[in-house]
Amino acid sequence: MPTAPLPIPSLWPTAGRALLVALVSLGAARCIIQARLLEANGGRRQVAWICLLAPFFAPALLVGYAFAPLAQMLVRAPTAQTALYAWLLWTRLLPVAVIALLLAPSALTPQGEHCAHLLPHRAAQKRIVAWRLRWRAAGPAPFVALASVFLLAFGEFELASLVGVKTWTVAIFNAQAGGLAPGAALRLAAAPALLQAAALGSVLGLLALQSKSNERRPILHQAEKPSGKKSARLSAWLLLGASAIIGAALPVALLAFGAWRGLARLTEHPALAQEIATSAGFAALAACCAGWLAAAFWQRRARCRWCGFVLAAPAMGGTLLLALGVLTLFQATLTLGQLYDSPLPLLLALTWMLLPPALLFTALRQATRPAEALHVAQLAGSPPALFWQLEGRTRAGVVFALFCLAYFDLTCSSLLAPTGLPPVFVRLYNLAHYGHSAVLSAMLLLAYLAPGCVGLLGAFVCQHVALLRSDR
Amino acid sequence: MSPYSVRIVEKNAPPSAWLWRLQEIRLGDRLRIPALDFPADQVTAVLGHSGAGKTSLLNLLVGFEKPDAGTVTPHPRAQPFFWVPQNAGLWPHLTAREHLRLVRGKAHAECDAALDARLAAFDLAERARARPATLSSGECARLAVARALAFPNAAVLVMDEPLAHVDSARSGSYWRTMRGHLQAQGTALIFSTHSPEIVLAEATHAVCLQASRLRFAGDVPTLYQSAPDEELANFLGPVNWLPAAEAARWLSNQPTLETPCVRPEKISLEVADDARFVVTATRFFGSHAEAELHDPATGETRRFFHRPANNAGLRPGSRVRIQCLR
Repeated sequence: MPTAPLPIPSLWPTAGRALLVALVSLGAARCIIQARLLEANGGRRQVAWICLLAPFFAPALLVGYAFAPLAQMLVRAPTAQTALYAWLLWTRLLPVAVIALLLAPSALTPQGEHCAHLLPHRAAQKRIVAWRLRWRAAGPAPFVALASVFLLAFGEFELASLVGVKTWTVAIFNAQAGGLAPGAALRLAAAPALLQAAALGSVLGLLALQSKSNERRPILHQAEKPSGKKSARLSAWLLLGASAIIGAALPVALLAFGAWRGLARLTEHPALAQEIATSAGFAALAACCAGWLAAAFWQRRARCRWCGFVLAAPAMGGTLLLALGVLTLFQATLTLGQLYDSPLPLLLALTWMLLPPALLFTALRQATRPAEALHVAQLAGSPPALFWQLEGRTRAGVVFALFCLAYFDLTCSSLLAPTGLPPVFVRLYNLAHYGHSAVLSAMLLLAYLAPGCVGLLGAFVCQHVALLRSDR
Repeated sequence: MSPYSVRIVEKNAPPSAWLWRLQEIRLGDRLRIPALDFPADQVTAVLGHSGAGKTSLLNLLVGFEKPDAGTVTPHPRAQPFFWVPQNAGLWPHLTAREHLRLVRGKAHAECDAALDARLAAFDLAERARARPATLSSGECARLAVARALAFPNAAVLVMDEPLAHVDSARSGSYWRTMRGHLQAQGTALIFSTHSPEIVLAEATHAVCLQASRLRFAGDVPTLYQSAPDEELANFLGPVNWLPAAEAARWLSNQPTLETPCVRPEKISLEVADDARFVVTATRFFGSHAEAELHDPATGETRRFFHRPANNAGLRPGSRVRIQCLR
């Protein structure tokens, strides 16, 4: 007999908070895009992109660990605690909103908007015409951005758990950790899952409508306004700066400050290196699988892309639901049950988790791929170093970004890691609940620096291999 | 406080000789103009190589961009104005007909047939229901111009390389439509272009920009017939730049030239076996031709642009003398 979804505490506050974060992110993203910082020339563009993306790639555990003492101080003021959580969440999800808007830019050029402004209407009428133009020309991008941020904020678990904010994800994770069967935990998650499905359905519907009409592509975007207004640029820099400082720089600084005293005692924890290697191994495999799947879906026909979106959709509901789903799958099915305590469930969950960002990165890469330059290089029989500069390093960058996302995962690892192969952040997460210590800070710092070292080493090797092959 | 300001001239100001007055303009490193007036009752062409600052200058006039320093003063006679931006600036959600309808406004209701006639003048009648994303670059450019002409009672139209994407075979008829409309409405036109033929046919006043600086502002005939230097002269098509010493060396009839700017129609090449110069190469461009001449006495070689273009005897190896026509 089907069971009705159980009522779950904190569902509607979580939804309200997620909606608020999504709306604020959308507004901030519009401000950043209109200031055109991300398209500026020279070093400023790189700084803007780093400021934007740094909080997204700063692990939730790092941010949560850095702000946990402040959150504990605010425990008697739940509103302030929730505001802190919402602020941290906003810094993490702002890049999602910006990229969603950038992927589907408005077809209305600034020149078109100015032409509307020149029309001989009265001021109020003029505003209506301008608003209508912006609204109708914007396409589904704002809705996609809003829904994406909402989904990610609604399904967030790690940060909420460390900052001590009650969300439905924390409630379910705690219930599951307390002995609730995965199936029962999934039933408990039915209501939030329905809400997520509704949001996701509306996004997919809008995207389907867009691809059907295919009339929203930008037209003749050359010779646009070179830069936004000074005040707009200043506001955008303030937003980016605040986001980067709170969401990445401050947590890293706090961690590094506390870690230097504990570095000498790291030799007392020999298992740490093995745990880091385990995490890196899982992350590398998952990143390669997700990257390959995304490329396979994207390079085929439009129908294949839709299959990719549909397959990636469950991962948009958050890692907790995904991990619970995979756990149930491997526990409830007889054939898969034999593989329950193997690396497969974790690898599957991580790959699935990476599929949405992998599709997003692939779309971005395809949109900015210098196809003509590559073809000319191919015709000219150019050396591999040129191909590495034109395309290879972007592709490697995408795989590295996916590697980082998988490496820093906590939820899937907590629920699905096989016995004897514990990923590094599971133990560090458990230790983080006991408060700050120099050794823990040092362990966290080392765990965070590891992917950076892997990235630098990988870039160095790839660059030199390409140069060596070019010299031959 | 920004050093930039827009001065609004009083509505009851006396008729002025200018539409826009620019003073001490600085716009990043894209434009620097100490002083410039756009005259009233003239068709002004803005000329310059790519990247010279033409679009930036027009953007300042229509208020799309603001200068970092200096003043842009529009005269009330320049109101209302409309703009054809370089990228057409079309509204993506509207059809071609809806573009014209929105610009025309309710107060100047024009029936769909009249709007269609305007679209037809730009060969867009069949595309009346098409949206910009489905139009070609040339169609977008034509629609942008048609939309500007639909703007009611415009005092000035500012056009940034209008019809640039349109094939030259048909652009003549579109320019005729534009000319007729502007004359009927008494509308002034300021436009930028790379085409010397369009400037000569349509404009009476020229503004030349070079490397973000103002190089020339004056009458088109002056620029055509007695440009101050060769680079400026080249803006209006091929020219033979002949300073006095050069003229004495190459021209057989030794005229007293008032200006070194000698256009192709003033040069005639006469084939004669006893002539001094030897033709080394010729090229035919339709309206004019180019001949590369060699002087065996001095070893010098230089090009001459000349008419008539179909000089049958003129071929490599033949000897010619150069006459300057009055």
